Amino acid sequence: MSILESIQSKSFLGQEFLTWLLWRSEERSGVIGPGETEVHFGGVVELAAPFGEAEEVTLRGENPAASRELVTALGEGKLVAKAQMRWIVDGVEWTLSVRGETLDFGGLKPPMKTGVPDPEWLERRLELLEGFARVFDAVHAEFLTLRLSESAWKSETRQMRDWVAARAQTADAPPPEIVEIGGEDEA
Amino acid sequence: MILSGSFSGRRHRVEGKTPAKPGEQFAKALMRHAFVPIDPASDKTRALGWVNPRAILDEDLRWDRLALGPHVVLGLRIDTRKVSRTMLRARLDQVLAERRREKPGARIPREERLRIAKALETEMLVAATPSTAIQEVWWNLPASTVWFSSSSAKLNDEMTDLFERTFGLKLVPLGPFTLAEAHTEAAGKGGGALERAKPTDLRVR
Repeated sequence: MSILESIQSKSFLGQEFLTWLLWRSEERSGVIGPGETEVHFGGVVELAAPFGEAEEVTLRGENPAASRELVTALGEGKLVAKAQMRWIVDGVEWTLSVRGETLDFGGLKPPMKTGVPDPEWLERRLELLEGFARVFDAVHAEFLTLRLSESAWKSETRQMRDWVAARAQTADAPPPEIVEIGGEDEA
Repeated sequence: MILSGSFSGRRHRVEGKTPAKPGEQFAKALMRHAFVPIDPASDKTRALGWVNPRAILDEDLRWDRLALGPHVVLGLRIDTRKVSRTMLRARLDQVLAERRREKPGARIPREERLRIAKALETEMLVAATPSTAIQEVWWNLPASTVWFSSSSAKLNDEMTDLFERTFGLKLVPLGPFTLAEAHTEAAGKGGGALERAKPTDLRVR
């Protein structure tokens, strides 16, 4: 199998990562690790069946992760395809969107004041972005450790299904502001 | 963008060995693949090459002007020019109407209409002003990573192709598969688990 074929055939791992991250975030009140890193989903969450089967669901709102529609979509086997989220790393907040298929970042802004773009300012900016990526990769590596262990992933998915089933019965959060079926968005 | 605002785009891993003193070797390579504008007289529609993102009209691509600590920040300039289909159709209608006025009742064969359309398209293309886009490429040499300020598959392909032609180094996108592959290698595990991985069925029955 060529690397291009491998990249395409395993792209579902990115959607599974976002889905696992959303579940972890909801289960643990946002605290993900390493350290005290927090992840909170908000804004837009897009869900799709793996390998792009027809129907997609786009949820928009302050807390779409708490909505009944999200629980329903997960219960139908849909995965998080793209999501906006907030990461709090060492007490500093980052907002971004992540597309599961590629793990591309969107709208990732370093927490620094606009300044004169002199070399020192630019270098600091690059360091901050790379620092965030290291934390992102560490959380992603934690997912991969679980995902690539048959027994660990079996346990994780059982907990995720139990969570979805429990939330389906109790979810009484108000629906998100807009619910679209079949929406599609560009990266 | 990388140098201002927020970053939207893709990360890549650099494959291959970077020279100990890249400045000497890579500055020449950069100049060979520097941006060259579209020749207005040509029928070329696209030009792509390296620029200094902090001074895009500056032709001096010396390494020390692009370096920022362990990083090198490059600009990828893409100029495109195209003919508006609507305007081409309008001009064609105008020319055909003139022909009909000159020779009332004479039929204009299809081949002739196509020849006129092609000539008009070339004429309009030569007169068209190119639109310019700058994307940023930020290369951390010790970490062997490249950040590119676009998620477009086409632009990523064009950038990685130009990067390889310029520096002789391949770029691999840091996506779900490549990160998983690197993870299993770092953990000293074989790729069996990754090869066997199938989509998880999370349906609740």
